[in-house]
Amino acid sequence: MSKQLVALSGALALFGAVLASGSASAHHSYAMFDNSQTLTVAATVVTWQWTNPHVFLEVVDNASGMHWDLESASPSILSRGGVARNTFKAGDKLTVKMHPRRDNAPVGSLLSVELPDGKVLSFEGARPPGPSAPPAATPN
Amino acid sequence: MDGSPVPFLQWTQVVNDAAAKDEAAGNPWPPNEQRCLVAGTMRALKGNFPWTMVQTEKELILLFEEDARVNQIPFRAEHKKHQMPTWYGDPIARWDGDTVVVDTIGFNEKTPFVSAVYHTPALHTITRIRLINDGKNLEMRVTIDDPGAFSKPWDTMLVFDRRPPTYKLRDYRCIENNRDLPTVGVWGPG
Repeated sequence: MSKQLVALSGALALFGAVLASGSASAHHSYAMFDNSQTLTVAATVVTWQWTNPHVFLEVVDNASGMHWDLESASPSILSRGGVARNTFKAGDKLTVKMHPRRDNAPVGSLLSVELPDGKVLSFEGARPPGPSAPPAATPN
Repeated sequence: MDGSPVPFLQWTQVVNDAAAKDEAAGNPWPPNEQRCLVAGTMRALKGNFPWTMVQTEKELILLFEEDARVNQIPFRAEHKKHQMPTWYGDPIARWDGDTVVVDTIGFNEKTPFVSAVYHTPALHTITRIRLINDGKNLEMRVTIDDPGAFSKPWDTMLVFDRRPPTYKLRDYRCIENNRDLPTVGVWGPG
């Protein structure tokens, strides 16, 4: 076959990340989170749940004792950013930033984690780039 | 693609408006992916998981990281004579110059486009796929025709980045620890 769509040699190519048609869709909408509100909490890790479809960082607020479930992306997506199964462990002291749920459930969308040495791990890139809003002109 | 509104019929407009209202109120409708179901080709392509296109003599194969799904698109002149509606439909491909044209019918009704643009089993899509920008990007121009859902055919366009050769699909299994399933259920309109 003379025609090649995906490569000149080796007929395989990987694609991703929409460029020109609105926001990417995600496993689910993030509309349940209050994206206008960012909470910063000094906390202690209860568990780092490295599972699909979402990784969860469960922490306890050092001041209030509130237990937070902080949701992030999948292991496949996070691992591409250098986050791993052993990045956190129970007992770790961290400062987390999140968008909390609108319904006041103790659940948040994880934005970043500051480690005791001041290093900050960002999880915002693992969130979809925008709300999965209905189409204005063409389907997103 | 020209910026004009999606030509909804009344029922699809009502459904889409209701979804938009709930989304704005913080009560988004669960998409197929949240239920670990097939999202449909267009939504899967647009998702935040990467995918691979494999080209052989006989077919194009789309491999999705999301639950390791596969959509085979044979180079064939005619659709199957007897269609049984399926999640990916019955896609067939042909060449038109430097463009692959994928003609698909035989969809079920369970794969609304983002966000809640529903269609019927009468959906017919024609997707024109070509490399652009010296192969750095892949362009898909899609014509969507469904007289059961839209008043006229309409177009949309998707453009994708090519990933480096070392980039690999990784393991993703939606069902492993899906905390949402008990509340969102398996499937239902809305």
